[in-house]
Amino acid sequence: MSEAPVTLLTTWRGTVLAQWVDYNGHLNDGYYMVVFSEATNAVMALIGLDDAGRKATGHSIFTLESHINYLQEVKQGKAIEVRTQILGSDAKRLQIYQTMVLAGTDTLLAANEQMLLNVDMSGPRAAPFAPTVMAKVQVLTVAHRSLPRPTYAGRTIALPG
Amino acid sequence: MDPSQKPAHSLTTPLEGTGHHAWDPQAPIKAPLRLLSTTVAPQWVDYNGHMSESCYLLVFGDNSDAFFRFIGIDEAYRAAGRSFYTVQTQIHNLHEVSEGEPIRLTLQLLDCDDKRLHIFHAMFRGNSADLLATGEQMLVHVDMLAGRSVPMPSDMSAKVQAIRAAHAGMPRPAQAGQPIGIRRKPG
Repeated sequence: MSEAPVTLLTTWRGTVLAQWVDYNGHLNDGYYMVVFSEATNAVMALIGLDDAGRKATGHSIFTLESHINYLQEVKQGKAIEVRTQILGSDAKRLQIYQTMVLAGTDTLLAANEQMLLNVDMSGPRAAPFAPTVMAKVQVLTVAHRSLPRPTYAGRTIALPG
Repeated sequence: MDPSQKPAHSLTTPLEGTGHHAWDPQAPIKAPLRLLSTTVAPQWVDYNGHMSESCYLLVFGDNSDAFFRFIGIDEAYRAAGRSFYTVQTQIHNLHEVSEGEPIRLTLQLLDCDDKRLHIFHAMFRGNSADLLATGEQMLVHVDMLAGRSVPMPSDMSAKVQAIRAAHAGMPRPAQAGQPIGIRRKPG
């Protein structure tokens, strides 16, 4: 892994569906989160928490916090993709940053930051990642450490001035 | 089917087509506003029977729609070319909630200027004080044809200012204004 250039993970590809488009004629603000959640599911699969992994470990991932910056309108039928960067992790948490872009371009449509928590579903209660999962989390965290901190990470919401 | 009969969009909100609220300047304004109560719908739940994390924001969107109608924004207003767009959202998911459970929403106006609204949604379990999730949003009033932000009309601005005054004495919610980050113990 150390030989390969560090790149963002492409975690979702698709088009803006009619049922996501609201009275303003564009992707409804709530459905950006639906798309970003699909990308989060892909991250879970990458660290070994797909269906089989969840069954084997008894663990799953909960999203504690999520922040979205809506940067451009997106119309029905547009081809879009989500790219994910790992911002950090500890024994049971994973912080991710995702951008929604026009497919195959760097045209930024929205940015999303999420704090994810590993949960033992028998509680449910917060629990350290299973060792096999932790190993994958650490590989990704280390690989992405050299990437620049994204523009829209760590934002708060406030009126200017 | 005649294509002209097709709706211009497919996603409809529970309050769509219900018009806007008749504003009574003498009526006391609740702090926070209580505009929406509902139950967790089957299409919002995941394989565990709990509301999916992404669906909390859909419910907050319905609460925003109720708020828009409270200040005078309905289909006719949007047809004239103006609306509110969301520029930022932050969600805190605090507790799970199951299909069929009653939920109620509150809305606090944290701040505003002539074209922006900084709002805070809170979702509670039924009539309890059990806080399930919060949503903080910045909304901007836009001219959709021109594709730029514009001030609210004066009658709407007066309503927003009245709500802001009614909410000015409320405590700031603990979840508001917090960046996302891993808080590590010192040492």
